[in-house]
Amino acid sequence: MWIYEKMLQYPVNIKNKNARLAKIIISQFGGPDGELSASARYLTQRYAMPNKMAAGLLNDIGTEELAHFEMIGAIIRQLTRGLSAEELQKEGMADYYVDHTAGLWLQAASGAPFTSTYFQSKGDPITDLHEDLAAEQKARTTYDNILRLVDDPDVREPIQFLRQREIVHYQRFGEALRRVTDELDARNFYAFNPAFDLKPAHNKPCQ
Amino acid sequence: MNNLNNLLLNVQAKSFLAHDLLLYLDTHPDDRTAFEAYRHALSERGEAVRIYENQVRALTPDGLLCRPDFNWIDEPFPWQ
Repeated sequence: MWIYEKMLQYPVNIKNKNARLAKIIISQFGGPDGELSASARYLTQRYAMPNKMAAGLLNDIGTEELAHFEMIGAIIRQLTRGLSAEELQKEGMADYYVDHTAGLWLQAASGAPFTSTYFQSKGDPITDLHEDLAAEQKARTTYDNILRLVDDPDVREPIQFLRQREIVHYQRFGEALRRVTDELDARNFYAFNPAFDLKPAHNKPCQ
Repeated sequence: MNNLNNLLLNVQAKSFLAHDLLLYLDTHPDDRTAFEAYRHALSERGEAVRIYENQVRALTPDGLLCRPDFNWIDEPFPWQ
């Protein structure tokens, strides 16, 4: 289960409001490659993961992504809190404002609502770990894109931290994939799915 | 005020070190050197947490044990 620590994993102290940036960064809140998507992906995949190193990693990284999800929420809130309707409209956030005022809602920068179609939990350790490697790179690219659009150092700093974490997670998932394949049939990694098959199919006794 | 900020930053920094080592240990559970480093990081983090909770406020509800009053819902929340 989860315990809540009343602090952010990394500080967020933004002095200048900017709804234009909030509108972009919200993709890491409720978007396809955002922090909640990552967390839900890992925390749902962990149940069927037969390898304990990979399961432990999914647990711990999935938990860390919740902390990142919180940081993104803090960034968006600090960028938009106190802006008037006119200011929000001027900075391109009128369509968000009309439905959510200054509240936080899970959507991508495009306005597309959050959905579990953003991630898979395929119940196969090789497949799921490949998905996770891709997820970390997608998140890293998204942060690269965000950094091209952000000048404010107060915003850049926590975003750079989050970007670095994606790269470290990618490393860890790579190690987990190697550990998982070490445990499989060296002649054929796909001989059976250790998360589902009770025993390898090719070990059926001769008739 | 600056000191309070530093106390929190100390907890954040020590917590981060411990957490990053935890992720490494998840895929390298037999690395004794790393495990020793992790235990050391945990004890440093524990000390930082103790100091912060003593001088500022509880970080988790468990930290309310030594408080005279229920300050769990005190502002600022972490996102403020």
